[in-house]
Amino acid sequence: MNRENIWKTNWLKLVELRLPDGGFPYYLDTKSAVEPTAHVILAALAGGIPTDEISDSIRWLIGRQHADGSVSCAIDFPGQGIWLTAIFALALLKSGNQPQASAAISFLIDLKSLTAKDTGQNDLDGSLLGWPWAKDTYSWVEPTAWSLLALNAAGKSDDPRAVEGRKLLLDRQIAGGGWNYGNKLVYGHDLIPFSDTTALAILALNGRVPPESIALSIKYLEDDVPGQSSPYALALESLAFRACKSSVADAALRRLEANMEMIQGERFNVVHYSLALQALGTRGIIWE
Amino acid sequence: MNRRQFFKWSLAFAGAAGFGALIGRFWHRRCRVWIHPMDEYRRDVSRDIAQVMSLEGLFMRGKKVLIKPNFVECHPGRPINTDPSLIAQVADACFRLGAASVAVGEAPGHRRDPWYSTYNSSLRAVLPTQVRCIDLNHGDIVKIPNRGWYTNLKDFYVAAPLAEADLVISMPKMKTHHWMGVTLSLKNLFGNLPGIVYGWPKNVLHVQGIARSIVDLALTMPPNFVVVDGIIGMEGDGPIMGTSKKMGVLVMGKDPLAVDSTTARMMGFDPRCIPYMSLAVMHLPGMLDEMNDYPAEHPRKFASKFECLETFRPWQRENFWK
Repeated sequence: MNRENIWKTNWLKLVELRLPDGGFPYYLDTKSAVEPTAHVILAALAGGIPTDEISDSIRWLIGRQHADGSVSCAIDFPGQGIWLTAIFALALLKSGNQPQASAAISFLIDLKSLTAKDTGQNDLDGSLLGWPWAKDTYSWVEPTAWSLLALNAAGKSDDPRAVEGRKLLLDRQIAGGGWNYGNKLVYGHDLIPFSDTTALAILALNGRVPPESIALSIKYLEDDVPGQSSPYALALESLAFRACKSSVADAALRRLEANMEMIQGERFNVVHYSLALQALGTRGIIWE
Repeated sequence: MNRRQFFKWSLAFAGAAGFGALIGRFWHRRCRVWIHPMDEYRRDVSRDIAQVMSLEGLFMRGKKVLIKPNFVECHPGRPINTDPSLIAQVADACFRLGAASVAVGEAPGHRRDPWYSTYNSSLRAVLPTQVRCIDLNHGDIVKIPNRGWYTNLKDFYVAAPLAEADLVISMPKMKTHHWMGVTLSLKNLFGNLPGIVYGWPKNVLHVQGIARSIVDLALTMPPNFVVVDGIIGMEGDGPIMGTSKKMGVLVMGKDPLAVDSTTARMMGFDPRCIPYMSLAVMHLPGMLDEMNDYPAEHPRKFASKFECLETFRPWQRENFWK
């Protein structure tokens, strides 16, 4: 079976999980949620599925937006899980739902993390503004990376918030090139990077910072591929390799395909599966 | 004194009396802490664990049990996480006591990818097939009121499988912690909260104050039983960058503060110096060694001072049990 047919088979498996309300759950026994639904929409677009085939999912997703433009982890819990607004914006921008996406982007631009003068043992520039997971907390790598991807997609990569967000990511880079959740060292010890957050940071920065500033990061990811088995990590790595045209992009995709079968039963995480389909799709939907 | 002042002072006195009575009640309630030798993970102690749970009055027949280990990050060779084989033994103990279902659930605070926690092959491979593994970071969420008052958080947003469990067994790893001195069952409560609300790390709790958040969580959702994995612990720059320390022991009990304070002493730490323990003493029993009973082995037999960061050395003592 060629890659296109594999993609279609996997897509059909994924779309079976759509719940009657049009949304998708994180796991087989949970309710519809913003993040998996947004990622399924992005997966559909990456595979060239027409938007009318996912219109009920888009409708469900739009229905999650609060008056201030944000989304939350559940419609009944406004203000909780606001970092999801970035992925929501990305899915709606790419599916052509401009008004809702613009409201989400405005929310993100206004969403400011806490900053700190004294960062103690962490050796960080605490004055830099990125994006937090939750209101009234500090900036971290993943919400900053997703917010930058959303701003890039909205044509706002030159917005002062985006410029400062990129500075923040580079400031949080661990000496070996990778990123973890957002601290590079504690008490003089370099912390250990994670493959998933490193891939996300590369996706957010690639093409918008000098290539040498992420060369070590790409090398870290390339070295990670042979020993990596997590489909989530492999999906994000594959997306990052495709974005920066790494020579191991195809090897990573093959490894991802081989590991897709592991996403099953209690391990069937819709976000992971959708990211894998985004990586395997013909269009680089996240970073285009 | 006018009526308003009289009313205010009456309330204050009543509050103080109630507060004193509450502390007194806890200080005078004896707690049992079970110290069980276990020199290696391969040794089967599930029958012993079941016996202790039974003696502690943990009724499991027909109940839904959730085992909450401590998974933070996964780096081979580093004793960061609760050992899977011990988790399997606790699950087996629950089934021996008639539990209707047993699940292992965790919301790791650093890594989003459950491949490095509850879905790790090393865990699945040793668990009986009927034990479910649950990623508590992603999924349905339940709002429950905060029963403490140390943070500004009105409610906690908890992973639904945890809120729906009849019994929760906390299984922390015996480790030092670079912000709090030690991390045990009370600190393990952070892993009850889903990352999709609190983030990775759970910075909402850091901003509110780690110690204050821990005590609020302990007052809102205390575990029903604690099994500390002290077979191999972590000393030095824990909870991630430290080194292994063989202790060869399980510490078990129903009262989290009693288990944690005893374990801290075994590690050489004065529990009164651990910020969250010194706050928790106002509400939970088991802080004072003389009020704890050790029905199995005595902790002194296994006590061995942990190396720690310089900041925490003043919190350590040479010997708590002469």
